Amino acid sequence: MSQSPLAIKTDNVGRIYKKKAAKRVSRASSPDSSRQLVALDGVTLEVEKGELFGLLGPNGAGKTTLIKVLTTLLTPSFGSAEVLGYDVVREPKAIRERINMVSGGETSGYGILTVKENLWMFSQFYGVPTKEAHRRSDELLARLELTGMKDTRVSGLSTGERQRMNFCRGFITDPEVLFLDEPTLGLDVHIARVTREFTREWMRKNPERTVLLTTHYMAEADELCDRIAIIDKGRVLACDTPENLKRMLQAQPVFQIRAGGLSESGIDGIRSTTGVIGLTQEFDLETSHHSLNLILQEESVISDVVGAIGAAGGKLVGLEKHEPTLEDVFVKLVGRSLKEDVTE
Amino acid sequence: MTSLPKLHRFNSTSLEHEWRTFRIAAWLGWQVESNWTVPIVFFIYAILRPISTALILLLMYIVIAGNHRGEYFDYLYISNALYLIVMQSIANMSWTVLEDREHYRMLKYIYTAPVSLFAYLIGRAVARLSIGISTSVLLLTVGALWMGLHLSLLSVQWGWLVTYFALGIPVLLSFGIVIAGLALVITRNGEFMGEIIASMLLLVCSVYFPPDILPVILRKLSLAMPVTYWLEGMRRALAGGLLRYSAAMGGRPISPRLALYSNSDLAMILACFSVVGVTISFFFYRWIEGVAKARGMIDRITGF
Repeated sequence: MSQSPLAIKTDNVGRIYKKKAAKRVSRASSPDSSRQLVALDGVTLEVEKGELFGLLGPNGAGKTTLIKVLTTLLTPSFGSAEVLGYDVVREPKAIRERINMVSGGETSGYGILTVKENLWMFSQFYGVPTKEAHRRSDELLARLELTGMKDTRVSGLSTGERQRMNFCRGFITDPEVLFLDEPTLGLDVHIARVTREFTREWMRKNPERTVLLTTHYMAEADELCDRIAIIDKGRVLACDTPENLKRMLQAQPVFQIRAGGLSESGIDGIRSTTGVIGLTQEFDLETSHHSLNLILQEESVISDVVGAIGAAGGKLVGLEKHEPTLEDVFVKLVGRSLKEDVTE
Repeated sequence: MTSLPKLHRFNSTSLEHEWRTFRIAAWLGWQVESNWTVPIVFFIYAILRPISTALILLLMYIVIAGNHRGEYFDYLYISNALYLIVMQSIANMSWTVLEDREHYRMLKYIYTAPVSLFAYLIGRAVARLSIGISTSVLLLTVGALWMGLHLSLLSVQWGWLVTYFALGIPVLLSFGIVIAGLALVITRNGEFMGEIIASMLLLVCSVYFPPDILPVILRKLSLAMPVTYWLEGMRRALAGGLLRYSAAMGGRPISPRLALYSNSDLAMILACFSVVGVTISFFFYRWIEGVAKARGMIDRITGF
């Protein structure tokens, strides 16, 4: 173990999956690169102890792959990674004693066991004394509003309830580093808020605790994380506090425009207007209006944009300038909206 | 939530930790095995099904050999009863891997917990092994009481029975571990692998066919299999000695090849197989777990 104050440290870590060649494509005609999938492409990160660190990225960006590497589920293809100073390849046991992981959007759990039995069993794998395990389990179940279900078999729980139980499982061992992979995916708004509040509270109680969170939800990342790494196609595009990331766009005004009568080609025309750095769109079925979010090179470009809307046969309904959000930062860095990615 | 002092929870020795993993896994295994269905279905599955299989065996024997139950019937019946233990040990450990990974989707959480998967799998196997042993005992009892099996508590060689049993179980579990390791890296149809291998053993490990009557290649394979010697030893211990054809058929041993070995020889062979089997399975499992981890297969869902 090296002397490291860091909770997580990765140095140019990468992961390449070999894809099976399609039967109809002969191996000879298929270049090697087409049979490889680069899930992580040289990620270098440092997470301090006590940080709530967010990984923000679209589907397939490499967030979960990085978590798998850090939790010792997957061997990296190149580079190195450490958790609490322990190497993920050489010292997995030392890491496993100190971490836990929760993956959202899953229906995991031994269906034949009750909620309480599932939690107790896991606490035993980590050597938590039974009395302490029951105390923690009661406290967690109460916080996650599952007390009434503690004697229910997991097979009788809804997906959301299973997810809440899984969330409790992650905390019951009181890990030094907790990996939360999309923990609020599929949870209702109220419970998602409860889990966020609980996570923050849990960290406040012990400044040594560290959380690595992956999420699709900008607001969640903005609200929870001390620092965020925006990741796409296996690479970290930016890493800073939410405020500093938003400050990246301070010199570039962000406008929201509502317009009617726009076609896809019309929107493409607007996107190609000189000075438009990023554009995302949403369509409101009720009003048949498009809502365009634009990041511009400079404020004067807005007149060209308005002209492009007119040229495309659109009608301007509303226009307002707003402060940059994480979503805007994401669009600028990745080139598309995270919402579009989720919808896809 | 109050934090425990750092690593207070791991101040137990490694051996104590392995033992705790084993105990919890055995508890989980028993919960899974005993609670997966309503009691009546469990009764049918665990008791009526093997008894029905024994009845089919009896019927086939009567059709071929008539109503006389010679020692060859004892050979077949005892082998069939003991084979349940082989089946439960070998086939079901791979099933545990697949079930945990793809049905319960918990293997990745077990794997990232500070437990030895080796101890965990053996713990999970204990419940199934107990069911296999109980069913075998039940079948032998039913056979002795109602099917003409020559088995008496007074003639059983208890010392040898315990010796062979104790030496054989590690071998069977080693087999199971190797197949469970293979299940980790097999993406599709892995659920059949354990049963396929167990069925192959049925053919070559002197369950129904003594090695002597097998084709040369299968005979060599049979004599290289520890299960062959385990079954022979267990049969002798239960029947109170070497099983032979009737006097009308010459009274020669049912397997002259295996009859060359004394009880002590069989015990020595099994002891060697135990040491080698446990060692090989331990290192093989460690290696194949590394392969599974490198390929990202510990948590892969393959359409189970």
